[in-house]
Amino acid sequence: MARLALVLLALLVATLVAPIRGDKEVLVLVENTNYASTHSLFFAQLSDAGYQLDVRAADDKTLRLRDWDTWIYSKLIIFASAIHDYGGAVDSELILEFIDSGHDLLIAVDSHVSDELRGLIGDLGVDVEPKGSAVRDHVGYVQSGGEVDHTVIASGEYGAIDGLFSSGPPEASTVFQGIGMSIPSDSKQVLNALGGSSTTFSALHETAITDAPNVAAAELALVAAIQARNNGRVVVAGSTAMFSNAFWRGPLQQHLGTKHAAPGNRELCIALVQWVFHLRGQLWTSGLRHHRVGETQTPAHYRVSDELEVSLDIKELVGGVWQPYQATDVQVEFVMLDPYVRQTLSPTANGTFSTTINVPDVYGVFKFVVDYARAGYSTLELSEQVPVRPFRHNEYERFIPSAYPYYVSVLSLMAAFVLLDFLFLYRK
Amino acid sequence: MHRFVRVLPVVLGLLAISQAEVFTPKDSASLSDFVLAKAGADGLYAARSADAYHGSLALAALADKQPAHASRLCDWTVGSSYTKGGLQRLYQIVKLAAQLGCAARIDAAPAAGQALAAVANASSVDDIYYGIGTLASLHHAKALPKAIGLKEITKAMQPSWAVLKRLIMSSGLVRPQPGTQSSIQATGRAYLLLVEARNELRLQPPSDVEKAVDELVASIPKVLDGATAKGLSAAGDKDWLGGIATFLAGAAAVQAHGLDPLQLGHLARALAATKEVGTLQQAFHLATGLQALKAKSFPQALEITLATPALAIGSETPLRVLVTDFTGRPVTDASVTASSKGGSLLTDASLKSVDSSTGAYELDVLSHVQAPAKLELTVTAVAESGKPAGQVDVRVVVTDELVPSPATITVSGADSDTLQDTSATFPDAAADSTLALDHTSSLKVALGLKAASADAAFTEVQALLRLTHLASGASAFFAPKSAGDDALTITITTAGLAKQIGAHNGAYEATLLAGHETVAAPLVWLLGTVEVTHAPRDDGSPALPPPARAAAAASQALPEIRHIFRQPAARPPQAVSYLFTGLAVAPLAVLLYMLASIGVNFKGFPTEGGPLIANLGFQASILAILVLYVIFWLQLDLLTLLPILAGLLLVATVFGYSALSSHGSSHLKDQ
Repeated sequence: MARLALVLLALLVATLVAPIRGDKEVLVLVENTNYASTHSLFFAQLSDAGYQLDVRAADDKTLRLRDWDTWIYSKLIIFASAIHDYGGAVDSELILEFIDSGHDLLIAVDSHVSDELRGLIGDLGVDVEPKGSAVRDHVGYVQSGGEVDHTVIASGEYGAIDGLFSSGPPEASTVFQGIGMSIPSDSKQVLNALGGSSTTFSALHETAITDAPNVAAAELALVAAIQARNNGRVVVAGSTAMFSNAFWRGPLQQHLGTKHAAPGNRELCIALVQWVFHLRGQLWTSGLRHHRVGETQTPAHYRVSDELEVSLDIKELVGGVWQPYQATDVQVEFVMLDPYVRQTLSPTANGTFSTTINVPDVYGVFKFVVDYARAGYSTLELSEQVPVRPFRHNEYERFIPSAYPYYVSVLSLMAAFVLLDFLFLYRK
Repeated sequence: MHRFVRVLPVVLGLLAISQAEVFTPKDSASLSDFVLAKAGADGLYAARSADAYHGSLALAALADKQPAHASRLCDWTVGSSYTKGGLQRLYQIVKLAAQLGCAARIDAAPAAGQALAAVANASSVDDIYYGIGTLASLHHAKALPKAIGLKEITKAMQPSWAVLKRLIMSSGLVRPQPGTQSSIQATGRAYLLLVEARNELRLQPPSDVEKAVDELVASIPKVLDGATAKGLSAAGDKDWLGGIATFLAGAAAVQAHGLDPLQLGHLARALAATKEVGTLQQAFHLATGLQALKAKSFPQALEITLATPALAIGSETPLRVLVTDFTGRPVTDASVTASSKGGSLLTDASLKSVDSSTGAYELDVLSHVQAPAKLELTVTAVAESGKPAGQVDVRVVVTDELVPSPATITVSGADSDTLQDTSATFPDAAADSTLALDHTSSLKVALGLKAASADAAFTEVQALLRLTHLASGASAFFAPKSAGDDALTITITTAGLAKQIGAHNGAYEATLLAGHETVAAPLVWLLGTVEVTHAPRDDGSPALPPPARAAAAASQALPEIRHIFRQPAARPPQAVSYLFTGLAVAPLAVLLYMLASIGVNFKGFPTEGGPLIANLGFQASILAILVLYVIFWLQLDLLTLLPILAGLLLVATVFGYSALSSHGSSHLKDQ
């Protein structure tokens, strides 16, 4: 019996432990294993960073992303643009679930993007141009010395995404060859990390154009960064080649452009990976602190018209170290159904943001709300409920000069009563 | 803080420049330098047997000198403990010692015994490979103990042959062990162990296994073909570089014949693309892979590089390709031909060798082409064997200058009447520098684009008219319509503008962009400025520009909200309050004055006995009640007040009844 129990225990442990991996486990799905050599610089960067890459063919029949309710990997990279059916137990729905559960995804596609991947990217809020189309630039194309190809372009139109480019965007343009994308203007989650230059457009054919391009110039998204509501992150790149060794090496010479020792690909790709793996643009907060001015303890409730001090600490992950976050646009709201007060918090050098607010002269159940969502940064959503009571009867203002006649009349009435009492009873 | 500790090394790793060096097969000297650097100043590879094995064998494969103090490494190797650490460590130490020439100094008896046991009990290709490799090295060094002769090895090998037979698949691939997927690396190791078993140990597989082994070797071209199609890897391979290198080393060792040089060229390019070598193991694999490609049994693979991707009409530039072997050495004696796709333009046209120092071959293509075009050519190099040793599909563009005719720019009203008419000649802007376009008019640009040399329409050219809103930077693009021959017309309306970028009123810059791979220099022509007025809104006010992107708007701070407190009721000035306070006090003052004037006395206050006590108590309780009222007003609440008041009222009632009774009695007595 004891032996059977031991065997069962061992089986249980094996079942629970074997498929579970740490948050550095990255599943890389590739179209073919040539990527191991053509993209070795990119993969080397990930390996050097301590990530354990499981590079698998996208149609590998043994693919698994989840073992029952446990995700086997924490991050997923898809470099399999033309894949029609994933192998094993992986499909687009599972990948969407993977993102919904807060995991990270990096997808790179090209002009041969399959309907499967197009659908997945569409579900993420990014529209990919028709299959076979390519981004072209007849003015700013890259002169490589090899074949003349105006689909090999370079763009320096990096998005104004502070969380992604915390130390500034790459100085040099990024070499790109692939398919363009567009981002719906009403999308709040999708950011254009790399747009087309002013002469870049997307075209289906390489012959004369008879219809205006669907997307061009700055509206053309070459790389899209998606910050999901649950702080999961996705990067969709329209080019697998931009991650390749060939595009990471210099020099970069654009037609009618300046020459750079190296393109910005390495810098951009590393920034994208750091961002999508939550090593950039990551904010941490201590939570809200609040108390009456002059006090230090948080009371159980506030009274209308109290003066409060609200503060919180925010830190940003910079180079692996949590450093004080610097911003002048962090706001706190005091809400009861609608915000009654919205104030900007004043920053300090140590990352503490604070302000004083006066409790409105309305009593009820209020909430302090901090909803901080900035481009490229993880969203901070804080909410704390506090009751607000009215004045007590003895908390109103006393000795009002305007009421002196009333006070005096009462007192004089009392005095007169006593006098008349004595006069009536005791005068002879 | 815990989280910080966890992520720090990850970030530092990503930020750090990779320690890996960049190599190509052309600069194997750099690969040697890398290995020597890893060997360290003492040449002991930090006393790691695996590193020493990989480093020394990499240098041997590169035919380079061993690091300084090789004898010290030899001493360290011979003295290393190999009985603990598994079969792989034993294999590496023995192979390293054999490479360094000191295998004979190894305590061979336990090593050979361990290897023999591994072979006898093998369950995987790796077991057999390491066991046979160890025994072969010891045998080669004449270090095998007398107790372990070829007879014993032959006997021990019998189960391994059976295992190997089971692992060989019909496709010519080998599984590393039963129940696993086939692997290129395992296949390469099977080739290598066969060579060592046959050539070094003089072992022959049993007759029932021999057929499977022979088929395995004969299937090498087929395996290469299949593996190439799948990206040079099989399902069971995790180490791509190791798999390719081992396969090539194995194929070279068995002197495989019938290999396709084009596929070997593909392999050579794949190895050349392995630019990053960060570990000694990778260096070992790359070095052995490159060494195998030089095997005499392999046909020579050639690399063809296009040197003239663009040929300009009017120039006399010939098509030039560079032919080299995979190590970068120029090849001058190959037969190089070019054929165009479909064969309509060129069919097996021969290229002449023109420069032996670079391996350059040339062909006059422009004599066959009169118009701008993209040529898809297949260039084939055939070496002495007569088989194609290199083949590449290249795209060569024949370019011409793009010549625009003067552009006519017309603004027309709703009834097609011309409102504005001007023209521009490249590279200048229109004479009428500012054009006006509103929702009732349209702007038409007409021009022609010709190829300079051919003096004909440049039909392939991709032209677009770009209108850039100067204030916002938003750009809209308009495609031309053909108007016959080389003529193009582009029509712009405010509706078309609004559809692309929204209703931005104001000045736009109109620029014509035209280009193509076959255009020698793209056209960027600023035609002029257009002042655009979109259709007004229903209330007659100007059209509104489109709202900012939602993502950008969501990143903006919201306007602050200050709560407006209820204003306190207006109060009179203090002087008025004081005046009325005085008025309120006045009756009391009048009362006091009148009382004083009539003469006040309290002679009726009892002076002794019970009435005194009753009156004192009564008046004191009344005063106490009045004081209680004042205190209530200042600080008490009602619940505190009521019990005290009740008590005082009771006292006042008792004393009052007594006082008033005595007062009444006294009054009656007086009457």
